[in-house]
Amino acid sequence: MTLSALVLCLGVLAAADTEAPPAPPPAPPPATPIDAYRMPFDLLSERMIGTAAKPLRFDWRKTRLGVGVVAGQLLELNNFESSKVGGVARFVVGGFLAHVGLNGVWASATPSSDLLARTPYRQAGRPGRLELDLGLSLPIAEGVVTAWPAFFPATEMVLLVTAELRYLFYAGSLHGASASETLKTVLTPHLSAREQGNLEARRLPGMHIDPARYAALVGLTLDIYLHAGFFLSPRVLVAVPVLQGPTGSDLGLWWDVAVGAGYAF
Amino acid sequence: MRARWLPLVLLLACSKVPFIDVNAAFSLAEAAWFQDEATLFIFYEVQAEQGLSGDTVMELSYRTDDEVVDWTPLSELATVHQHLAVDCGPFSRCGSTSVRVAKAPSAIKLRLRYHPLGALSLGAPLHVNFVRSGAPWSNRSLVVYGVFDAANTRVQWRARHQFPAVRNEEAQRLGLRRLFSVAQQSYGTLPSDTDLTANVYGYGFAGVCPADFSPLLGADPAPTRQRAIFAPDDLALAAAAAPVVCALATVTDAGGTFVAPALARKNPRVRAAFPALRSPIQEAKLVRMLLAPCHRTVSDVHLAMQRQRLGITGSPDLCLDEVSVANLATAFATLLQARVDEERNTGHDMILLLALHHDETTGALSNAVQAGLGQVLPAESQKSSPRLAGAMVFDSYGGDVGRDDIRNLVIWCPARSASAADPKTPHNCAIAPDSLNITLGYFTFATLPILPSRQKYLDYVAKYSVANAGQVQSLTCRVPGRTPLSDDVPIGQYGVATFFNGESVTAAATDAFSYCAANDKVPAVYRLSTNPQPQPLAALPDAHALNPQPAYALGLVWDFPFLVRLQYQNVFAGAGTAFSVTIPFGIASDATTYEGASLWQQDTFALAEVLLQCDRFCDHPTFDSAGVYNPQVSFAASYRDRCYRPLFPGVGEGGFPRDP
Repeated sequence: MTLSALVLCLGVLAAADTEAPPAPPPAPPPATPIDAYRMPFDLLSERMIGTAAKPLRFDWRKTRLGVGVVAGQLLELNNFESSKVGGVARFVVGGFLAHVGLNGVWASATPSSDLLARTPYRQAGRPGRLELDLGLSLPIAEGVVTAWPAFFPATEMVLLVTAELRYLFYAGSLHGASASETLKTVLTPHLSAREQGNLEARRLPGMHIDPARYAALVGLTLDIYLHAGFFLSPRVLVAVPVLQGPTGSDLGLWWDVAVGAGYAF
Repeated sequence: MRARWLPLVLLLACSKVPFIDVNAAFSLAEAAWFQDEATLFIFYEVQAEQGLSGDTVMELSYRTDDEVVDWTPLSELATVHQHLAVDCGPFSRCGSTSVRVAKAPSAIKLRLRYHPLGALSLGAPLHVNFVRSGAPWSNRSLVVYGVFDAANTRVQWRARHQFPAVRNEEAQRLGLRRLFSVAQQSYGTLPSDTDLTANVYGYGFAGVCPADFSPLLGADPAPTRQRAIFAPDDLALAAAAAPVVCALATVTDAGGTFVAPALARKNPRVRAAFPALRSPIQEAKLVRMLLAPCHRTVSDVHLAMQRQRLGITGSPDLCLDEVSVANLATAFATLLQARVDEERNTGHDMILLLALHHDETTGALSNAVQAGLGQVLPAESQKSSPRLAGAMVFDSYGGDVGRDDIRNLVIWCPARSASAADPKTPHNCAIAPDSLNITLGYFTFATLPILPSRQKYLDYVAKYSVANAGQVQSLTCRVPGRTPLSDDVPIGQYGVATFFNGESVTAAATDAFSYCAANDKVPAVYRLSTNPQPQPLAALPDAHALNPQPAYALGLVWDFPFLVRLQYQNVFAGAGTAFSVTIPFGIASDATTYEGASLWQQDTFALAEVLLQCDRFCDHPTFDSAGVYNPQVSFAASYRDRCYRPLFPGVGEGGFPRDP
């Protein structure tokens, strides 16, 4: 099919599906019956010639709940290593994708931090902990894509901008605190003196415990849905220092690189 | 613009977390070498703002004439004494050690190595003290002494660390524990030439305990590493009068053991010098009298009010229009004395309630009445009970008591001055002397004193009616009883000290007293048989120390002989006026007021915590209110003007008493 023929067909479809165009300039009387339907190509190319249905492989907006597991690494730009494993639950809220995650984080020393421990210096870091994530993602691009290898079926891919608030809980840090003290401190932006004192025994050599209890992160998430509802979700977030003042965090712009996998119902 | 920010964002995003200095510093670094013990003690404490790793080690180096000890972790040195691992918190490291060093060390150095495998360390600014050979109580690192419990029957033996720059409890906090024991306990009295002026704990005051001391039967306390341990048994009754218990104390050092005698001195035996001064207070018999004209009327309304206020129902006792003013004083005095003598048979002390109803404004009449009172009251008030103790006069006009001889015996109502604060007549009627008057548009509000002058009363009732003038519901008087031994001594112009019944504190010349001003809420005084002038109780301890007397009489100071309790109905009255019609109304409330001396509201005046008396071991050391034993603070010398509130050790209170 040539380009002119395609344009002509689209023009016919547009004429059938859309409302009547504005009145054309007065034309000379038709010579033949077909002349009444002739239209200049320039005019035809500038008109809305029709809409097509959005191609979908999996409509994630119609899901009620998605659950998955998450694994990743926290790149805190210090000499300690932190890895995490956890679970996530995802919900569609309006046009957004909300998620709640709970992760266990393991911090470990490195040869560099072991050498640092032999000096009178410390580096900010965080011992092992539990993290509660509350996030919201906005889809900015999506479509059906083909996969490799070729026998793999086409998938639905969604690129989302993600914002997340993270709450850090250090088990045992409130040992010895009364119930009232626990209630007073458990939601404060930074760790109390008692918590930091209790964590001193658990910190890694050379580590200065970062006092922040909250972190704010933003980044990109790429959701890849299979036709049946399975999804794969790599994600890169960076901690933004909007809470650095109240939390007193000594860490800079650290990174959270993770991948999740699960099923959307 | 966007391109300009991009490098900064990338720089922030990729910047590493910086290193932080832990800011470690020694807050304590002390070394002391004791020649007699051949021991070098080390005490240290390091603070670090960012905490210290558990791998940090303390290292010591020194040299002597015989050896050179290079940097060695303290944990690898053999210690002379026990040193506990101390938890000083997450941001601190502290501890102590003791090393056998026979000869004087030099080049003593202490440092903190941040890690056993690391090369970085922090040198300590070490202070080194040398204690050469000398007396055990001053030249050894541990002294042993004894104290007694509250009952003076059980000895607690104590050890006290004694370092040049580290306090006793600090050495304990830094982990040092010393083993000590006592044996061969005996009791007796120290020789008179024993000088404990410098050796305040008495440790090693001699080579052995005095030979004339009697041995105590029973078990010795077990050796302990705590700082204190009680003897397992109470002292025998035979040791009750002995001021001192002596025992041989054994302590350890690098050379083995060291034995020296230790002393336990009994606590001063202290009791209340006079637990309570008691003067029975009675409800007085009220003698009511009315002096008024009998053959003319001044004001029936006012007279009725005066009768109601004082509870007078009969006809006038003395007709003022039948007696001239010149003869009034004698006539009134004669009548009053007769009434008092008549009432005396009831056995109660009496108070005269006198209503004076007249219209004589020159003051001659009230002066005559006061003269009559002066003929009776001063003599009557000095008698033993039953007697006429005083008078309360309700005059028709404001007045005051002008005669000195009855000024402290008579309440005159209403007072002449509105404030009733005339210093010459402190007990003139002060019962709501001022009336309140408020005008708000068509309404006026007022209150009336319960004992007003006639003019004020008549003005009030004309506007607010008699029904809103209030009324007395009860009037009672309390009076201290006097005995045949009671003796009054004037103090100044208005005060009187009364020694009621020969109450006195008896004392031996060796006794000592302590006066506690903080507990003194009683106006008590004392006097000597040789000097009748009362003295404040606070002066008794010093007076006895300087010039001991066998007895001190105790008395109470007062400024008025009785207390009037008046219960009455007070009315807040109002009146609304419109179109020439006034409608009064009032809100009544009950009120109680006291006139006279509030001292007589009680009949027992506690002195148990005001004046203490020591009758044995008064020059011995004392415990303070925090339980700290003060060997240089004796009861006799230090507590004359201080409150003595000792906190004694008790069995079962643990082995680390407060001993800074």
